[in-house]
Amino acid sequence: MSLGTPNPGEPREDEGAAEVPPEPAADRRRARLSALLLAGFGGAVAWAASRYPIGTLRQMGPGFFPVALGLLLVLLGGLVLLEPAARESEETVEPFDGRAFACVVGAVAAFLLLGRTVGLLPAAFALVLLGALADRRNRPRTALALAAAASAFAVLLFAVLLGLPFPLLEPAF
Amino acid sequence: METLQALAGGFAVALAPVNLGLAFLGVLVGNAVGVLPGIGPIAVIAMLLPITYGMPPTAALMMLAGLYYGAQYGGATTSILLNVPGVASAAVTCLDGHALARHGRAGAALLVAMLASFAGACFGILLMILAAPLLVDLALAMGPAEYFAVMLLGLVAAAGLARGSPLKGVAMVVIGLVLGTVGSDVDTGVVRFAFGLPELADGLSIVAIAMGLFGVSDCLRNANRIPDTGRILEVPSLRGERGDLRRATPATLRASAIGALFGVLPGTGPAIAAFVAYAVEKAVSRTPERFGRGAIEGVAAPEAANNAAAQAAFVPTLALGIPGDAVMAIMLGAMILHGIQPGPRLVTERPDVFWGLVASFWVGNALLLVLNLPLIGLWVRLLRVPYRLIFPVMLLFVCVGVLSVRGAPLDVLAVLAFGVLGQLLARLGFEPAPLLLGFVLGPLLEEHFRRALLLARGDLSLFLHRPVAAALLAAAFLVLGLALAARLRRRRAPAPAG
Repeated sequence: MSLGTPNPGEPREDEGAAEVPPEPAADRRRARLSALLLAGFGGAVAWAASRYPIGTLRQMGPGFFPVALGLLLVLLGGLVLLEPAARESEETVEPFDGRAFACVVGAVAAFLLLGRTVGLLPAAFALVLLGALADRRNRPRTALALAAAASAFAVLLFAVLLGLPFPLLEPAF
Repeated sequence: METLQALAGGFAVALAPVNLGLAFLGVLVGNAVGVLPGIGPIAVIAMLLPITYGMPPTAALMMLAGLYYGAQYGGATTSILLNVPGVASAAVTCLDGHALARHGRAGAALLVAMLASFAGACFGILLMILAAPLLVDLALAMGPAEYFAVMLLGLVAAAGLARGSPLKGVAMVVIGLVLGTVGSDVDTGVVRFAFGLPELADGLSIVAIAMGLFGVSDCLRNANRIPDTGRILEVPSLRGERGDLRRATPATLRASAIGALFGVLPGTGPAIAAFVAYAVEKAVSRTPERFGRGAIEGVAAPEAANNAAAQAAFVPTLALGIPGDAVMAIMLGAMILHGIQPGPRLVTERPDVFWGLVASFWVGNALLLVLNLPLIGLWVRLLRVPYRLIFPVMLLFVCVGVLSVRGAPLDVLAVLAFGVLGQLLARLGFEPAPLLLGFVLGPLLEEHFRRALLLARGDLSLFLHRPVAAALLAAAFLVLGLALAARLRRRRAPAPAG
């Protein structure tokens, strides 16, 4: 049991099979990658913000605060490298789920693409279909049925009940 | 007396048909969200926020708030029946709640959980009624330096108390602050980090960030992982034993006080309150060995505490305009989108909103108490629906919901980007909640920092010369120092087996 800020719906202790305790080497790699990302992002922010007027402490310009934040991130990136790694039991990393990732990203991409070219009804259908396939336990037939039901329900809710101006069968944006 | 009058006025607002209806809808959906594992209140509040744009602000806020505290009730149901927390703050309830269920006493556990939840919530609401007016007086005496210091303390506390590394928590806060600077600068009107995109000139949307970090990211994390457990589930009969209430009552009272305290404090929330209340009950019990094997106090304490904390969390959010955790951050965002600026002036100038919300919380909790147990059959049936069929539909609601805000496909892309980012950061050991808090508080923090230094003519030592601000800043450093020290100590101690 660890203290944590409310992080919704996260069953942590229910399945042991999918969790692998991080090895020290993997831990160090994660720390290095974290530090690199923080320092890189912070540096980019500070550089981009330095083009805005900085001003003085008394009369700060729009660049002051973001430049300071960017530099702080670079500093934090360095500190993360120095920080000792977590105890094994505290942080476990689940193996990367490539299928879920590809399907969810693909589903949203398909939603945008079809919404732009055909309309929101096929976009919604494709989104739920691809999204459902993210989970291996959903068979294609289940996914199809779910997509049909969900897009019908969405049309009913958003277009009919809530009356939102959604072009169902013509380009939406 | 004055307070009672104001409260009566609040009940008149809360019981107006539209407000009552939407509060009812909010707690009902909230209860369902709490019951379903893998779906949390932050994502659902963000999803439903766009739908509320056409509603009267007070009614909309009552519904969104109902979603949050309703989820606290539902979370216990899943903890007890399935040993899986429906919401994070119900995690401790699993220990004894599910143990009771294994002994065939699920009904007693559910009964006590609901009663304790209601008692805890009442305690939190009472605290709101008593503390908010005091806090308003305090807040009106606060200058920009004090406001800056309070916000910094809240952000540092949220970062330091998050799971995992406090440094990574601080980094998430800072990233949130950076994201909060996107859009036009309040003082000068200069548009920052818009990269020529007109959609970004108004800033990033809290709806997109919350949906991405908490909605899409949860789908990515939970797909293929949440098991289908629904079939084994039976509807329990709700029966308690005579000793249950006698054991649960003192635990409930102590835990309510603990929960209300942790709800008001910055950075702590229902999850920590439940954890502490459980630990306290185990410590004061004459038979601590019963805990974890089906002690009814082990159900009453965390449930009273997390509900008290959920209600008390509204105190700083409404009276100071400073949210203490990520859920309150999105509630604050919702209020601002509805043209309601929380803070001391809300209580004095818009008593209909403030007291209406307070009264609505009470009505909503009473509805939850009355509804949750008779509807237990419905919740069990809901739990039989596997997560793998729910998340694709949720993904659709996320995309359509964010599109309905202003019809900008870029917002959908932003949701996806934040979802992927959230997944990446989670894998690297960063918690998303401090980011959301930093994003919401960022513009306020910057504004007060700049104003404080303008008033002090650029003299940074002003924060040391104002005793309240200095004390708050010292507290912030202390919290961070303690969090770092605790981590270092834990590292040196040998890891317990298992």
